[in-house]
Amino acid sequence: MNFDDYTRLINKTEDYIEINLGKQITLSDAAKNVNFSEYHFHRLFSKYSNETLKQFITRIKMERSAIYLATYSKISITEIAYKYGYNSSSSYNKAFKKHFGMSPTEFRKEQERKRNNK
Amino acid sequence: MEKPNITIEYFNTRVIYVRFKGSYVAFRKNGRKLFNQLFSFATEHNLVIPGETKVLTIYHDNPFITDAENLRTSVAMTIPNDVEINEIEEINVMTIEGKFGVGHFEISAMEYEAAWQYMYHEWLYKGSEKPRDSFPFELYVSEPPKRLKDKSFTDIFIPIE
Repeated sequence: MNFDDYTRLINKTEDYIEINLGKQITLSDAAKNVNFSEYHFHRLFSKYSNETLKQFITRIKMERSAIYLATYSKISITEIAYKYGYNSSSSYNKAFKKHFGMSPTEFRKEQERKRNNK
Repeated sequence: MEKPNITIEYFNTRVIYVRFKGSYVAFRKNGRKLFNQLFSFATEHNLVIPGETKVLTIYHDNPFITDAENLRTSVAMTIPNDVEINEIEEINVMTIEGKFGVGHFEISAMEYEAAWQYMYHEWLYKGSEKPRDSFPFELYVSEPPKRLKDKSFTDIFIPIE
């Protein structure tokens, strides 16, 4: 497998994540999407990427949910957690804080403050 | 920049694409190479339909949220729905589907940023449409001009609910 093959594999995985943002995506799901064994897929992904698949999925979900929660200020954090495939607001809060260094509520307030100062 | 005409459209189209990961500055430096790669594949596989094929730039991430080194940008080209593609090199196939607010602009290369600002800050955030969690893109209606100051027709697609 060469670099181009890897690039296509990553692209296909990204496209799969894009249309399944609301699900809990596993290594098995991602591997199946590109017709690879879990072992082979994990090995290739880790070889060429500076993130593991799990880190990659979490980052995409965090970034997308951050945009969503800043845009829809009336939707509860729990609803947003479910929308991005988390089964509780506490697990979502924890992942969000780890990624952005602040809670979803703090992030939302900061975005509102920035908007009001414009 | 003149105010655009804005329409609401349902888009459902297959595209071939090449994706770039990195800052927008780096993307711009590599843009021509990526478009050439796409055109070369499309020409070789008889995918270009004169007057019908459109070229797009897709922005997968938000530069205010995603670190510059992780920003993903794809150059893409529309293809017929029934054609079979053997994905080789860095070429992939995907379908873009959904409802979009479409700003129809006649702009120069220097006015793209203002056009995007208008679509988000003047049209979307001040209007009644709700943003949808998907990626926006530019679709080049006419050939990009040779000189920076010359204008061409470009549609900006903003995903909405």
